[in-house]
Amino acid sequence: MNNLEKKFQRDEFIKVIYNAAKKNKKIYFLSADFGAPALDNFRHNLKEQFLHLGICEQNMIDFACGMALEGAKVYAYAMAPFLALRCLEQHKTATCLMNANVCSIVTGIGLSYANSGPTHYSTEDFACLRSLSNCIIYTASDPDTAKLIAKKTLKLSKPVFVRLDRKASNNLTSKVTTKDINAGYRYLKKSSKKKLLIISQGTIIERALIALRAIGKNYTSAIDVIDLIQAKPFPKNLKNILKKYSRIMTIDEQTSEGSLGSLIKENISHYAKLECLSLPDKFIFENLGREKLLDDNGLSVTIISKKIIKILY
Amino acid sequence: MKFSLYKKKAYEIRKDLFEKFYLLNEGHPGSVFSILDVLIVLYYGGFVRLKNNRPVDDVIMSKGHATVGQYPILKDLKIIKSKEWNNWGKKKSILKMFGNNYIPGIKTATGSLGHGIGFATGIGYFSKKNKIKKNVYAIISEGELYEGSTWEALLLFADLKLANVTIILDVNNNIILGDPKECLGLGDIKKKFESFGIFTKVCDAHNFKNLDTEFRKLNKIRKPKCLIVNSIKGKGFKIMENKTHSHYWSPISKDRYLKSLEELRKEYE
Repeated sequence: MNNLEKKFQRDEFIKVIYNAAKKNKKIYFLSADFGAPALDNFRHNLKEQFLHLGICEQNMIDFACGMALEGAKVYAYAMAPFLALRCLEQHKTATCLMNANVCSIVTGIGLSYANSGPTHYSTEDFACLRSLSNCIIYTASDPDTAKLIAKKTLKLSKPVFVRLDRKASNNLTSKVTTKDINAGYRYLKKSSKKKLLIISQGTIIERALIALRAIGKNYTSAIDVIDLIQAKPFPKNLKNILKKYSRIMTIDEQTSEGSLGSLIKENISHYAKLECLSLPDKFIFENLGREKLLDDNGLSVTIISKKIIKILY
Repeated sequence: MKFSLYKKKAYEIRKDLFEKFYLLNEGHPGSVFSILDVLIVLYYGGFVRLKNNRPVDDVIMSKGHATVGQYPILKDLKIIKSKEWNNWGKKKSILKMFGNNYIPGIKTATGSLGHGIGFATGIGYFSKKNKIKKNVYAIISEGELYEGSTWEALLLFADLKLANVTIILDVNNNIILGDPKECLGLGDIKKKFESFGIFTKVCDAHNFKNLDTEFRKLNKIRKPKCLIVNSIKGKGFKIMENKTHSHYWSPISKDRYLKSLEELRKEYE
């Protein structure tokens, strides 16, 4: 697959909502001054169902909640650091507490907005959002996953957060299915020996797959890889699956506190050797591009490979 | 006839609430009693219409600590069961010091300030788009003018030109630490609202005739509107009136309690 076939998660997501909104006039799309090529269709063809609210994430969520209480299905769209944290209290008091039918599309997670610096990085949104009660949290690792998550959100009528990457990417080799979305996770690699489970979410999972290819089959034949699609509520079946592994590694493009590593620790009740890879607990200022920033901050393919070998032996 | 009903209800409901605050030994009486007469006019004046024991029109109590002022009215209108009112303060009671949308007749969860206008704008906008005949009354306090989200919401409210939403701004010149003027002056509030394009009137929060007339007039105004009501914090009780400390219930002796009820009775005789 070449670069021309790369797709943006947000476009895949919005196209699904656009098609649904053409038939369902109770679907509304709100943007806090944030666009996407696919959103242009929505803006031009469904003017009555689209509102550009200005740069006001707090009011966008309260307004969305008011609409939802009357029977609307509302999608609220903005850049990840602002839609997650700027209006965190609105998510709590408005959408989650009142069980409002609002889906927040949190776009540009992790270091997506390199080299914009810490104000634009979204490296703590997962910890903040998952601390809220009564919500569902999805993370897309590729464009097709974003598309199927969008379809799933149309069937839900409660607070949902969908975490999307900024970059265009190819689909992962293992094709995602509706069954995977319903389960909340999918195996990207499955063995019978089950010596080590690598669990990750979002596009950072690509690095785990590259690392496994680099290490070679001799090492990796007993390693499984899971893409966590729905982090909250934590998939019940996944709790049982975790029990089968004595070695577990998490990889997350978030700072460590409250990240995927914390989530897995909360959900294992047996003794297991655990290695949690994440970004360091610091603000990152260097202008090096996202890939180099990940390399320099503990999430390089080399580091991941070394950690895999270390935990295996 | 109508005005004597307002007066009768104002007395009975004040008494009910005061007795409950005394019994529970907690609450926000000052803010509740400052807005209570406005609630009386909204609910008993036909501004909040009822259908099948459910409100057709919404009252969003953005100053959430005053939501309890709605409970005895909703009980009287048979929207909240008497059993729930009697259970208030017990473990399984649905009634709380701050409201939420699980309570019959209470539309939104409030308590954190600065959300009400945003909620009301969303409700009003969807109702307008879907041709649902509904009026929304968002009651905010002057203290909420310190919240940035209030101003974000005002911008949108005015821009959408919603005529089915009325903001009621309760000005009792008291926030928890005293007079707002001694904290951070709010300036000419009416002028500020008007500068957004919001039709704004000012009224006495305890004059039933004025309130009734203003709400009737405002219902005919087809643009975003606000009624600023100048109120007395703790209205009806000498131990609380215009007193900053009345924001929270302060324990009182049985004698003081009985004396307060007697003073209230005389005022409404």
